[in-house]
Amino acid sequence: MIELKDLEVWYGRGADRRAAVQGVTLRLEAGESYGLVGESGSGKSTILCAVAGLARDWRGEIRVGGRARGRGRKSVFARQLQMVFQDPYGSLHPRHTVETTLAEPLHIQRLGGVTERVGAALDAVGLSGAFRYRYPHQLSGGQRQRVAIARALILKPKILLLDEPTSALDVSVQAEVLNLLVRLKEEFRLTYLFVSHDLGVVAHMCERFAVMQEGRIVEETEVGNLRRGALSHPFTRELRQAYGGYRRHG
Amino acid sequence: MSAPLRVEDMNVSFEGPLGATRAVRGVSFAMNRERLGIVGESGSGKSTLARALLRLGPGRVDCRAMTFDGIDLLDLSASAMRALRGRRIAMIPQDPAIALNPVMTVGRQIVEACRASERVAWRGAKEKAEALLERVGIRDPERIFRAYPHELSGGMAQRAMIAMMVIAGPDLLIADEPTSALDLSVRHRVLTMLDELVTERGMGLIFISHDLDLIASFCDRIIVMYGGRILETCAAGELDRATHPYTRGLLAARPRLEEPRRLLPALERDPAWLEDAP
Repeated sequence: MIELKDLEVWYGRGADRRAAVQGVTLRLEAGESYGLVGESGSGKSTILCAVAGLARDWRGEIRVGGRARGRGRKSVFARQLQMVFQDPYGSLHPRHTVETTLAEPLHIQRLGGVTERVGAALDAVGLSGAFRYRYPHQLSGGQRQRVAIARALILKPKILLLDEPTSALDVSVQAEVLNLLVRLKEEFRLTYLFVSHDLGVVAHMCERFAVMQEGRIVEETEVGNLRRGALSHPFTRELRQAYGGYRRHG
Repeated sequence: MSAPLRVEDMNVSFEGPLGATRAVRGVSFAMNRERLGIVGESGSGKSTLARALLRLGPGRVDCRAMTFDGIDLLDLSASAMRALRGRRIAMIPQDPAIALNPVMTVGRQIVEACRASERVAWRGAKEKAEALLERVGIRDPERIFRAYPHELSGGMAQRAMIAMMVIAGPDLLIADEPTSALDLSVRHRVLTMLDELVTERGMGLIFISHDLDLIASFCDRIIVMYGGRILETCAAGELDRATHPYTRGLLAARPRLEEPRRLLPALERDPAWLEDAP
């Protein structure tokens, strides 16, 4: 469903030009959930941006559903993949109602039946019709993230690019959003590329994952190996050890 | 030493157009020179409680008693309270990007914090500050020292703030989500430093976090807050044996590495948790 070959992504210009992602090759099958794990600045979100067409300066090969991605954003790709961002406070336009936000992709794609589609998308994420005319400031963090997911789903894409979709949420709200993502994946047979720094969330949501460090993938493995502690790269083992809290020396 | 900090029946309320909101309701606790964790979800009142301990607003604080090391904090004059803040009780605020002064270099702010509490020359304070920055895992302390807050990443700013708050050697440190912006490896360094301040210098630490695993593994004792109230207090090592349905619900809602599950149990909130005890 998604194929990346020797992907390199650069930020900045001239002397400031720096590689954020280097030599990344990975392959996602349809219906799979694939995790990207790493610390801040390791390049995991940059990969999502490149796949979504938000990165300008890249080299290598990006194929989505068998089709090679060129420069810039193309509306064919928008129908196939959509992104959900980390910060539900920043990713929704503060002066657009939920309906305006959800209808925008439909207008861009010149699709009709806006009222029904918006209703169906709200329904899919467990929000009642009462939310249709609300503004983001009238929603809780969890409700906002549901709206962001509804917006991502409204064009009926096959792939969701999820960038830390629950890290700004409380544990109990995170559980609700993760449950929603599990149900939606089954219902619409979605493929997930899931960025998270939380190994527990990745283990819960994904079958396979890659660990990134300084722009490169240092290990790619199955979640079962993470559970068993059968990890090969020292950095992955370090992450695994740090999971679950603080360890006192001696 | 007997309980340096003792709080009895603290209430904090905010006046709004729809009447008063009670953010902290009847909170009482005492603590020693220990690591006390306060855990709860957003809106549970933990940050408001932390600020009220320093008599910092917003909100109206009503409290039957609040003493620290034998000092009646409620009776203290504003200037005496100011002298106590930072020097004896310090707080690492939740959002360092807002708390740092944007028009002053980070280094100057840390040095200022140091020189406000002890008679030390600028150079001596600078050396102390850079040593602290290095201790919290900043590789290039001189560069950070000269930087302005907007030039720092969230994790850098958070660590600069921590350095600023511990440089005066407070007796009690209130840390409000001090490691939320930090990567795992750096987080460990910061926690180790806080840990050493408690075990070696006998500092008291109030550690506020929403991260149950972190609090359970780092602290000695845990207070669970919900809707401004303390629902439960337990030893940190016994968190998995917590009895309150809210705590149990939070524990169950965490995705666990060890046990695969299709769906996570949703937390059912009982309105009775918000009712005042008879």
